[in-house]
Amino acid sequence: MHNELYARLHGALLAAAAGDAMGTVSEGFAPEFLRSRYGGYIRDLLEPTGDGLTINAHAGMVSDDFSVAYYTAQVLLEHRSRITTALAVEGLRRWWQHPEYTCYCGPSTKRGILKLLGEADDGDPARLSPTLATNGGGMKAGMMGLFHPGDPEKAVEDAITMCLPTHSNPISLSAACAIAAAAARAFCPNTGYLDLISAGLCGISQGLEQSAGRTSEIAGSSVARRLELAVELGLRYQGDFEQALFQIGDTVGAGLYAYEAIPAAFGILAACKGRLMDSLVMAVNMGSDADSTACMLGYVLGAWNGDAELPPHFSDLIDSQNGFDLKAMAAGICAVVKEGIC
Amino acid sequence: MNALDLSARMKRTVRAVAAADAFALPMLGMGPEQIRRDLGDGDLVRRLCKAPPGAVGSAFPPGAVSDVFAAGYLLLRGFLSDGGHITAARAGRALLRLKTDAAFRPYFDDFLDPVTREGLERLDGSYVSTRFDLVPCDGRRINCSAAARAWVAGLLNPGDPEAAIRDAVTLSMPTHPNAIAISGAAVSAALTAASFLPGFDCGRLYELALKAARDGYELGLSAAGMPPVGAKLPQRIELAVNLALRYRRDPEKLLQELNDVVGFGAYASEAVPSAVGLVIAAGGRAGEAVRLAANAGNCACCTAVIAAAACAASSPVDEALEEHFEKVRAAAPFDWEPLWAGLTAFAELVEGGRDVFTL
Amino acid sequence: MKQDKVLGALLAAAIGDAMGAPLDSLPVYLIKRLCGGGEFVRDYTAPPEGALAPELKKGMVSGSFSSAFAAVEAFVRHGGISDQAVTESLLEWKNGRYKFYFDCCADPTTRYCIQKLEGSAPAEDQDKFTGFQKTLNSGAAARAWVAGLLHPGDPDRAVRDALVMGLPTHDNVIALSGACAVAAGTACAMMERSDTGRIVEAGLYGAQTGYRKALEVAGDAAGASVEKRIRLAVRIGLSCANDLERCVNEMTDLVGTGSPANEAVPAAFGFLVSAGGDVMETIYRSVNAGNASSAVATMAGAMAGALRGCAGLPPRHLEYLSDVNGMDLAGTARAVSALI
Repeated sequence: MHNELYARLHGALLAAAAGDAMGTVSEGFAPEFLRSRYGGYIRDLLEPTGDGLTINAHAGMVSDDFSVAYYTAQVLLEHRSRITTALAVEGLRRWWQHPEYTCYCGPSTKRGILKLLGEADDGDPARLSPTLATNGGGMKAGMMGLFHPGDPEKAVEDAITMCLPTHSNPISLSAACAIAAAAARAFCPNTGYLDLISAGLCGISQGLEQSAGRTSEIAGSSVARRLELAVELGLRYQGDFEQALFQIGDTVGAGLYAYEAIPAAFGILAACKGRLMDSLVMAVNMGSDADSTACMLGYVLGAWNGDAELPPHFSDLIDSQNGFDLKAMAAGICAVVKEGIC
Repeated sequence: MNALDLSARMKRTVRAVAAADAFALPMLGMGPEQIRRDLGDGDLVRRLCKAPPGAVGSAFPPGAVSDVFAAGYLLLRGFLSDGGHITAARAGRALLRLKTDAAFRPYFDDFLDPVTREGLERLDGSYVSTRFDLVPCDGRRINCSAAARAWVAGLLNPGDPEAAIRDAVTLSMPTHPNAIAISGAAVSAALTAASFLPGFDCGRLYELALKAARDGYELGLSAAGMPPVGAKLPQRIELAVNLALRYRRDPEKLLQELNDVVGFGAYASEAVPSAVGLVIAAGGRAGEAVRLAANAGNCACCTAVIAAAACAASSPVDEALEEHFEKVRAAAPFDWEPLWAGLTAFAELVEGGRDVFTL
Repeated sequence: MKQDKVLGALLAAAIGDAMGAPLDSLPVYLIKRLCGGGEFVRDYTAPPEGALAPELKKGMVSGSFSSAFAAVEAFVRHGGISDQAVTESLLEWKNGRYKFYFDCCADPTTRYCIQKLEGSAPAEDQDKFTGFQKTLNSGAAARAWVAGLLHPGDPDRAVRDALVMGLPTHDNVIALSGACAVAAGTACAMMERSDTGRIVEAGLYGAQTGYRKALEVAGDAAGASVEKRIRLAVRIGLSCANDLERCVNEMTDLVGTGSPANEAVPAAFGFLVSAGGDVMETIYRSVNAGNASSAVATMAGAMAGALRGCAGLPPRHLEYLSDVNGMDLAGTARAVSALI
């Protein structure tokens, strides 16, 4: 199937997986350290060095970021249905069968999943802590943008459904909606990179509005304000890759809180004017929660740019190392979109 | 400044820090809007109150302090017993009392942050290594608890921010061998030390905060030996101060903006810059700075303590803080008399030994 | 397609000018009260008490669009832009069908320069209107989008012609830099597949190139950089996307929305970005920022209209404005698209 929708869908899936896989090598490291270790920027799928946060065996393997979304999407395609809470939980249950990925899952997701599977007590539910405001929602919600190409509003609705089971706080949810909305917008004609950013901001306010009353209040910074700050920095340093990388990383942060990683992603997008490989490279080499940031950028910019820019060996390597078939998934999403199922 | 005046100001700082911790404790983990709604009846909270049910601090009576002051107290007593000299070994021993001493164990059990906890386990040999210890970059120990104790380094170097920064590094290493955490500690220590200088003003406070953040980072980098992973302080301090100047007449907006952009969370790159911003917004008045910090919520105890220590010595005595302190005195198991005596003796040593007012 | 973009640009520029004119020189905080009945303005209004140009009735354009339209008509007659066509258009604006607008709106410096072209400038005014800083306003920029209209996809020629159009009245590097930014931005907006990001790029290129070229031929001027202000305005616009009130206030406070070219031009780009290229939203932001509202809205409208064409523009505007102002927008659009 070689039409434009398919190309963008495949581009998004491949770029998201590639971002995650590239980033697992640099996750948890500081950017200056990465520069000295690799003598430059990481631009390829590399073998992890064994002293990082990842314990992946091989180059090309993704981590929890992409795999959660992949298995959720698989469930949706099999059921030929729009996402529901039940299907979201089933997606998690299917993913939970893959220890090669679940070993990475972040603290919020683990807590949520164990609770959903009936295997853990929630602790004191009132003990709200900002550690729950992680980017675990954002890293999978890009997939919802792919199921609603060109329709950011529906993408936002589905992002909320997808993420509520594990991230029922306004910060994580609004960040997830930013990514979903931007990814959906990427499919619209005549969309520039500035439009992707405003779609993200719009997604945040819609997400907050729609999830009001369904989430618990939580202390933490504003995803929207941090996003604005990151974008400001990205625009300011557009001409200087290294400066942009350090300024965004030092000022906004690129860590696992939703008010760091998602804003950083948009800042990177602004700095690189939406160029796919440059954005992935910047995210990967920013270290910290690099795989999440790069994965999220992959959804948005892979959809926007298509898959032409990605190195040709990525597709086979990622498919074979993870047991994925991204082309088939793209075709599957294309079909359900065309049939208007979602 | 003679010994009498110096010791009076030092004691005032200690009282303000304790009061700040207690005042902020009920607001831990809440956001500014929530605090205004649930505790303040639509306004800022100004009186020592009880945490609402379900909040982090709900199990504690008004006047209780958290591990922030408790740890600071132990450190201060420990250093004063040796003429105020700060060493890593003594710091470690003092902090371990949180775990081993029955009177302080509740702070260890109920409040202590994971970074300090792990640090203590390393000190007493009970730490079990994980694969994360192999990672040559440190993104785990970037929280503000070292900064929240570093006022002690400032107090024991009154008027000498440079020395305070060096001592803050030493003080932090046992639990926070991390350049970002140490950067935060350096800021707190430097501002506390500088609060003993005559004629100190907010503009110089801002400059000093930036300088301390940078110098502390460099010193921390050499001391820790590995790069940290996370946002850094100088840019955040700049942002916080800009926001503080812009919104200083509107406390509600100020807290919302600082929360939204800089943050009041546990990262050193959030709590410390925000505390600096609040001190500037409050015009260096300790009572006001503490009130703002507490009403910001989230990691409120750390922010409030850092803010209090940065300006208590240079502020006039604040009645509200003194009142809160009386409640602390009634509620908490600290030996105040030996502490005051130790500070008096230290101040005399300082007057006798060195000229503190050189910059 | 081309005709749709040309008409979109003309119409949106006219809408912006006509909606903005009654709000000229007003601060944001008075606009809701005086003109919008408590809300922001989203339609044509009559000039309020103390308006800058009370003779302009509801629905009338002002100096910005009238002078631009006179230019378009002259360029159609001449088959392109030239010094002669420019002179003719300025004189036509002063003496011909659009004299009414000229009399209401032309600023003293522009008036003097056109009088000079005609040979009717009073000798005693010479010292008043020459020298540094006198013509920093955005009058040239508010017409320069026409150069972009006539050179779709060709920012370099748009810049060159913006200088030709602007020099007679705005002999000053900053005013011309602003004009070239708008011209290049419009030229980019006229392309088949364009977007706000590309328009901004083109605007920055135009500002920079225009400034450089102007240094060779125009008078010196001291003042802020149009290019850098555009960058700032775009950052502001983006961070205030979806929030009109915040957008107009931030833009006013940080960039400025006044008549100088290094305020109005950057603001126009900022509002364009803030509205995500939506034509009417771009215009609403521009007019509700007050101050040089008609100029800003004309420029921002022209770029947005060139980008989107007439889609999203309610049909009543064309008839209403053509009628109230006696200008054949549709016919002129056809004539222009035959040229390009």
